[in-house]
Amino acid sequence: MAPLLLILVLCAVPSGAVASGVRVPATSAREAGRFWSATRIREAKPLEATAPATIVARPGDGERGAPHRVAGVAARRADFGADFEQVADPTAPGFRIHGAVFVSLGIFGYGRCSGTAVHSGNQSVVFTAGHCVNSGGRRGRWEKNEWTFVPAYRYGQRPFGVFPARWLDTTRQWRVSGSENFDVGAAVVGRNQRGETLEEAVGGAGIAWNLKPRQTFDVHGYPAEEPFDGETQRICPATPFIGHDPDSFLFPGPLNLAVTCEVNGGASGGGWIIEGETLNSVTNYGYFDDTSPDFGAYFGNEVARLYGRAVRVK
Amino acid sequence: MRRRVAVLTVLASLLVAGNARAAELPGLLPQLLPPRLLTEVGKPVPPAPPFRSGFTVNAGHHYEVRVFTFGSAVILEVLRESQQRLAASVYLARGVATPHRLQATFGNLGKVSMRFRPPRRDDGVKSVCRFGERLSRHRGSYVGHLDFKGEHDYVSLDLHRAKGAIVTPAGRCRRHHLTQAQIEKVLEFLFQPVAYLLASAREGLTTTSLFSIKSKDRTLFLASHEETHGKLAIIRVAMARAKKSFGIDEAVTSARLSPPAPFHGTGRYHAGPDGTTSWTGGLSVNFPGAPRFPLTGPAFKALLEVPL
Repeated sequence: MAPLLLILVLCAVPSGAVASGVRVPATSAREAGRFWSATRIREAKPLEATAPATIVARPGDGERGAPHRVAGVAARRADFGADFEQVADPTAPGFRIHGAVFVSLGIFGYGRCSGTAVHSGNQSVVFTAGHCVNSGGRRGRWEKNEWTFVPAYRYGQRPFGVFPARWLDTTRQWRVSGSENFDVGAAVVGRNQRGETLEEAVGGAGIAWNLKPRQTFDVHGYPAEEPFDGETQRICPATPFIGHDPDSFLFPGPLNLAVTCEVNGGASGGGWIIEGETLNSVTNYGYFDDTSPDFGAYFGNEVARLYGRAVRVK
Repeated sequence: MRRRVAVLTVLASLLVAGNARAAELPGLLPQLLPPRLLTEVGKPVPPAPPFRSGFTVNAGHHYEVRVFTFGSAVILEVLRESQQRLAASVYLARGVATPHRLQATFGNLGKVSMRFRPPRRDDGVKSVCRFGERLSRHRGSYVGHLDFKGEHDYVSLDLHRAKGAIVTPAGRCRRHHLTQAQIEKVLEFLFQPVAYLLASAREGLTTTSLFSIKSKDRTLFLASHEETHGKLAIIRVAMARAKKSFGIDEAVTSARLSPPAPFHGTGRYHAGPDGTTSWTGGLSVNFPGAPRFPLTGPAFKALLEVPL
């Protein structure tokens, strides 16, 4: 079944997807685990999408192609009750695919985001926000120093080990224009301390693109600003699409998605899951003056191309 | 986490609305905003030269309608303006927004599909200097079809031709649009207020705000309402200036706002000893297409600040 699935995945990826992105200097999981001490994790500040960069019309940016889904290999999670709760056991199936991302910013300290393991042939793909891997625009900086994914992170615990990045990439449009409508990033990570691939350790969500925006999402993430502390995974379960941000109309690309979920800094890159197992957006930003709407990029052709590049990384 | 761009863009344009006519460029926003304003918030310079194109027509009942491109959006702006007051409803839609083509559907309110046609006898490229940036203006006509009916038919347009222009940046220039004295006056007004009051209500993506800023000799009132309907976003703004209309008691426990038209009625702020606040009264505003829009009520959270 798995090889057939992989063939289907590779056939479905739009043609023209070529390996690009940036290779990350090899770091072992052991080294990454040592680097990310509890002190450094505490010091890590949320990476933010500071502002949209370009207001330049590009005909065809908003084009939508045929809907496509890639099935996941993660078990469905159990039903979740109340709204906006702390996840009691992030190691449980359906939650363990989500984790925290940590990155060193050199003299600027340490940054953090959220991410989601996604099923792929190389068993090592993580999806996150574009600004968690590249600061965006033509002068964007790759956040490749000590970029590490810690699935099911909780209070300093790394129940499935740490997965240092080997390769990072984002959508071409995020790199070129910094348009938040394309704020999606991906990483291919190495093995953990036990020698397992990411997918062997935690599984991977499916991924879908070019679906209708009107979906119901489980929004996962590790918000790290008050009243949260970034030490636990949070979820806004079954939160429906409520519309598009008016700001989104001004920038190139498909209109983004809004849901009601009071996440804040640190939750960037957190996975938006539909039907319990399929990634269909990631958290991009919220507003200072109203934290209740959470905005995520629409997964369209650009995201399909990004996925295509990620699955080709050996 | 970041600040709103769309509504800030509209409000920023209103703050300097007094200078709008001078540049003779299509569209309120393109007229008033420095081309690189939005990139200066903290991100890189655009990779390609931006452009703005569009046209302006009179729609009767003192309404002016401006249709223009702004980034990836086609914007239709209905504006009513007099010396000290302004009200506008701005409709943002996605479509084709290229220098020579405007095409978009504004929900069930109408649609535009027009092409730029240069004049037979080209009068050359004219340029103006704004905010230290030289802008080249190519005049011509837009031909095609614009069909638009505002909410409850407050404005109705059905036209096939309009004079317009394409504007592109053409390097830096020395003359700034505002004099130093004007800049200082604006900065003093914004950053040395006697008092300000902010009242806002939010539900999902719908946001209504009223911002009043009182300086030594006058008060500025700004109201905005933001909403989206599928692939149409509507931002409504209103602004008025008055010498009085903003009274505060000495204890800073109550305030009273009675702004002039397009506002109506009075808003009352009250702060209790336990820190709770209320914002009541019958204050409303006449936005184009949304008359008597309420600006008070239990859904509003109010904040009154009086610097010591």
